[in-house]
Amino acid sequence: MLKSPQPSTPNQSLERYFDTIGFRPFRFQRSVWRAYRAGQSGLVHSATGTGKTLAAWMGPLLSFLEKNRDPTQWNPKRPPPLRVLWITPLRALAGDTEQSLRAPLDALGLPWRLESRTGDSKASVKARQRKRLPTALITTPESLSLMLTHEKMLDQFTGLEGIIVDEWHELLGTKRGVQIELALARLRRLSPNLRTWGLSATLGNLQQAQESLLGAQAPPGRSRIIEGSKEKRMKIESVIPSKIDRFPWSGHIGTKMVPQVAGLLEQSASTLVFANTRSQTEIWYQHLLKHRPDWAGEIAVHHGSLDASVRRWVEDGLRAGTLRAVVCTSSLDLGVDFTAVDLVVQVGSPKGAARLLQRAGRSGHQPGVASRLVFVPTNAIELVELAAAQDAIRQRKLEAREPIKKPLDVLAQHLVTIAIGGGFESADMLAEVRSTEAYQSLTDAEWNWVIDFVCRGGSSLQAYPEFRRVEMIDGRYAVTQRRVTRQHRMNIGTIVSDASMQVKYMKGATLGTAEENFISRLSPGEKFLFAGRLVEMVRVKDNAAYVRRATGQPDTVPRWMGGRMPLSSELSDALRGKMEEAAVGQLVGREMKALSGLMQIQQRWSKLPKRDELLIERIKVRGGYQLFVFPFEGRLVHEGLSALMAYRMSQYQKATFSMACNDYGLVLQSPSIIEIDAAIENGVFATDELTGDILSSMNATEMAKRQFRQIARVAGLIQQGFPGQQKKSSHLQASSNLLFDVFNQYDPGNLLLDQSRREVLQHQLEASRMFDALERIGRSRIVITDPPKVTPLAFPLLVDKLRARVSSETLADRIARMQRDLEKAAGET
Amino acid sequence: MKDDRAISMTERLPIELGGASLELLGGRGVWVPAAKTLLVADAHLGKEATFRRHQIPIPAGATTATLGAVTKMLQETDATRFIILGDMFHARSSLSPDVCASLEAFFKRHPRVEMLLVRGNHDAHLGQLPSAWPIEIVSQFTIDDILLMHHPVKVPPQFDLMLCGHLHPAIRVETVIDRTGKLPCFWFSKKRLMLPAIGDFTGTHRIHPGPGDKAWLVVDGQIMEHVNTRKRRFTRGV
Repeated sequence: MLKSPQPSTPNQSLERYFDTIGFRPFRFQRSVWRAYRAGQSGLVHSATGTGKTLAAWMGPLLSFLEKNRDPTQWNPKRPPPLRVLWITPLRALAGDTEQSLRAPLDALGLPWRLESRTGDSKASVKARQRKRLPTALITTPESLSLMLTHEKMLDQFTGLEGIIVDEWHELLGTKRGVQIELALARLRRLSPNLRTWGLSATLGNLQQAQESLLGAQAPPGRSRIIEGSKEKRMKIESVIPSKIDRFPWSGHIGTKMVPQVAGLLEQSASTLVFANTRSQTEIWYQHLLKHRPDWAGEIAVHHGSLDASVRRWVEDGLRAGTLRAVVCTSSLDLGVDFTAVDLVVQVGSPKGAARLLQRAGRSGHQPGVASRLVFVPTNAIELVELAAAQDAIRQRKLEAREPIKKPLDVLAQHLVTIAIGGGFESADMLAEVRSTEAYQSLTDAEWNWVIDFVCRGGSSLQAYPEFRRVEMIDGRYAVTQRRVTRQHRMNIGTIVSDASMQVKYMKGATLGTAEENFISRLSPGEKFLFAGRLVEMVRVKDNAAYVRRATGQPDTVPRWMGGRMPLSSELSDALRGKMEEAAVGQLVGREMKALSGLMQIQQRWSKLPKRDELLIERIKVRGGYQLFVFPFEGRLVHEGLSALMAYRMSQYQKATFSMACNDYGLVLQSPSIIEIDAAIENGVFATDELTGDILSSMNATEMAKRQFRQIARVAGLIQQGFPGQQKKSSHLQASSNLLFDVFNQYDPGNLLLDQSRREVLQHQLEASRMFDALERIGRSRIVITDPPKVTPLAFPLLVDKLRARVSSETLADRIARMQRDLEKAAGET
Repeated sequence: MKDDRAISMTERLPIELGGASLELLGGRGVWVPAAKTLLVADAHLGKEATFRRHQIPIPAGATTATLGAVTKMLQETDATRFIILGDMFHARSSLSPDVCASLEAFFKRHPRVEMLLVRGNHDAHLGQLPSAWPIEIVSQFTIDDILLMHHPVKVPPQFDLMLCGHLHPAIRVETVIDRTGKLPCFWFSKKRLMLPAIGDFTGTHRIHPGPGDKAWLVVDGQIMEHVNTRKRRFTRGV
């Protein structure tokens, strides 16, 4: 502890602290402290491991030192009341954050109390904090909202000086981010001079990120965007397969590169191996272990479906530097300093430049140390993606995270939160809600609808006397029923867990969770990889799958929904640039040079498209005609585009189309010839009536149903049980599918239905990206070729399963046709 | 009535099961012509009221729609007896004033139909129904050697056919290239014909018919025989 004989200036104290830890403060850190002390708010962005935490934390400390210059007046037994809130997106990070925030407090001998409050905190600690919060509190978005339901705690927030939101880029563009925006608006109400600071990785839309954080009414000129140290040295290289197949392989997951990767792991102290899906991590882990059985105990697997205790063990091993390598998913993208990690291996395309940058930054996680990333392609064309990503990083064309606009489910939840925590008055609350960036354009009609929804259970035209979640008492909206309060507190938050089952050993130890869908397909005795082990299904009981260790070969690997990221639009653009370079014979870099053979075949048989060209290949096969289209716009856009093309063509040509997509293009297959010239003539790529055509072409209702799941949960239609907990109120369970149907039928004007359709268009189908893509195609020259054989670009599309879309059939017709197919298939075998 | 071996759809499908002649109805009921009886299962009336009572905002409408579907079938078959194979109500709190009113209107509309409820698990906590309601509650029942129960238990040897509910069976039709959502169905397995839930606001349970089983899908109010391609006996389920 530093004790000085006489009071020193705050800056002197700070300099001395930095001397003791052996660093000089960076210029950007000083800028942040200055801005904070001047009462400003802002956003700090830089790569991980460049000192953002200290940049944000020292401001509040300096501010305290300034007002309390005489250390003899400091009494650790009487810590100052709440001054700072630190929001972290993961409760698992709270412990580590607490450690790194505590170091300077101790060194400076500040009389502050620093504590965490998350879902993991003890009830006794929470109860104590309800009476008196510490000087600085680390918490999660969910716990923060929960605190707002305790009216008695609100007084404590009036003294709040600063709030720091860590990893804001992770929250931005999610409903959790919106939840934070609403909570911040409330806190600003309670403490008008509150300073808000966000810490973020570098994004393509920093301005928007800052606006969302600071709110729509942030005083201009009082906020800053400060860039952290830019120069994080970085080495990115690829493992290039010794022999590039004439055709890009697909469907594999690159495991033939295991020996090379093992060689890399051998040479480094500690490595993170990132794979894109949870199943891939399991498979890669097994292959590495098979290749090097002597590494048992030195390598591990980490992903979001593993039990918290398993994950904690792995994280501790990484922190202590005792693990040689961990195969992981994005579960290790965030936070925690693993200083021992000196190499990152990325298996498969990271699908975005910002993500590549972020992942590389996980190695050499200290200021001044270089990051090193090795890329392992799972198919040859991914080498182009890496080259493109490096271009994008060089040109600082990083991805944006689009903020979500006025989700009514989150607002409904927040209104109940506030109604529990002291209640609200309508006009006042509306002003507060509109002070956020997300809800600044909320209309009066939307506001009234949400109020009706939480008070009357639907539009005010219907009267349900038995429903009263929020009640109007003396002009204020409030909750009076304890049961409502209890239920709401249990269900606060916007994270939706999949319908999952615990996977447990017979003796009771939990390994993690797998999707119910996967478990239900397993028969007893079937063996599968889980948590890096081979286990055998024994039985399913009480929402848990009981397993035992097994030997031999796995029958299957669990698959988890989601997680497959489409290629970002920035990366798509860079990729088209790379294709053009190849088209004019400019192969720059090892990755592109390695592909020269493949590129030549593509050029000879068909064409390499330039930036302003759209390549279409026509091939006749045994089952019919195939049309390959290569917009290079990412999988989601291609999914929408293929359905749109099929729909539009089927409007004037009787045809059934099956289709498949990947990040580079799409294939349409039809038993009859596809008249693409006529189709283009007829506006198959036109942008008019796009939204309507998208909605009619895709099974948009099915998709909206899926999207409704989260909405129903957030808006309080589904009471979420906790995994492993017996559902006590089974008579209150209804699937979101069923709820969607019931609302659709009996309350079609419900705005939550609207929201789910809108979310499908925006997030599932990326309608605006599709519009941009069609505009670009409209300006492009369309090049149609008839290659003699399936080209290298087209080949990976054939490996993916063709998936048919519904045309104009009725459900009954469709099922009859499907059944006939089944009957025919059964007859043939 | 068309008797086409190919995939066909109809609103009323006559079938022979366990020596009895039945008709499967697109309204999710079973008509027993010999006994002039209409059977349905799992109405879960008033479920939306129960949700609202627990402050979960669900719009009204499902109960009247369910009763409307029953009325339509009663009129089309001209039944003299109506039997619910359990779970008529969702919970005790389902008997809200609006639900009771809908139900009383339903009773009034069918004064000459004898009504019977085979008690289900959801009805167990119901307590006494208003004595004015013309409905009798039993734990099981037989008509013409057909056993009627709520739970799909093992069928006693003296019976060749049992009709029951409880399961809310549904099937997902899957081909290599296409896949539907869950479709409610009638499922015949081990001498038991399990009825789809009649209730409009009820979930479904996905089943996998075994090799000896039969199933009929209900699609848009039509009955369609399910093509059973399963070779391996499925061990889970009932």
